[in-house]
Amino acid sequence: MPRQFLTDFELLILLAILRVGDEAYGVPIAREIEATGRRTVLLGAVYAALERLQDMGLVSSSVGDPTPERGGKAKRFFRVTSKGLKAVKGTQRALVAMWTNLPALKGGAA
Amino acid sequence: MGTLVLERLGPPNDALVGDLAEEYRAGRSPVWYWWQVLVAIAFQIRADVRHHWIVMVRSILSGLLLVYVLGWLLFPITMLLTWWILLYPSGVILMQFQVGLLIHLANSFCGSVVAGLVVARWHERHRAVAILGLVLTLGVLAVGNERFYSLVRNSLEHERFVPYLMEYLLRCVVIMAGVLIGGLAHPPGLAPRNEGGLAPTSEASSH
Repeated sequence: MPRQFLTDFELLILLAILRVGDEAYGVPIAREIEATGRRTVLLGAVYAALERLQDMGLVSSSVGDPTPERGGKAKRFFRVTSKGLKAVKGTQRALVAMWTNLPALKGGAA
Repeated sequence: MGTLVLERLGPPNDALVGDLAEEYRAGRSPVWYWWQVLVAIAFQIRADVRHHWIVMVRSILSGLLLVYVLGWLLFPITMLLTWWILLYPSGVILMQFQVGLLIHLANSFCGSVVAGLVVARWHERHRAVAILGLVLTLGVLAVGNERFYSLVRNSLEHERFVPYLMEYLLRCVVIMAGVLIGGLAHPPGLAPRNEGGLAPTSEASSH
């Protein structure tokens, strides 16, 4: 049975791809999550999550040109699909709904 | 070295190898690089164990069979070499320097390297789980049998048995190292390393 909602890491990756834009490949995605999410990110974990997201049809990818500074390896650029965008919005709605009217969270930081 | 290990045991993903190279050249430390490599391999093993556990079982069984068959086939060579050395007057002196043990270890090593190479070739796309699973199984079998326990028991009672225990452990380590080296020595496939779930979904971009 397909999952209804994204995990927190999958959500962070989708948001990072959206924030980075056209230059969204492994390194900028990881850096974006590290910078805004204030957490250490492992590239292996990023690619494992990207693989899952691509299997679910939430992201698409394309290969760039190989460059010498990358040891002759090409970049793989990722883009959020319309299905992915829908999943992000759905997760946002679910989280906001869960957040609303929580007495423990009223009056500032949790 | 890290790239070599990643390309052979990590996910079939050139983009990840390139990303790590880019970050390393941008000033990341070797510790950071190795940590990333090990985590990528761990993710690959987890995925293979989840989705390809039959491949893992098959690789372990075929690998064990190869290690034992090759060890059995190479045993006459060990005996012949030992016998040949003993034909010479200096052979007895050489034997006192554990040359016989070295020949035995060298043969075990050669056999296990070949076993590792063959297993890596047979399980090209799931090499990490095939090779590391085989090495782990060999380790478990080495310490999980009656001979090991009797050697430990005897060594604890009489220290003259300690060299036998050491020889047994050394042989096990040599065989495990041989399988690992053989598995790493086999070059990665010539097919584009973007199979799995990360095949591009569109044509090459103009980036």
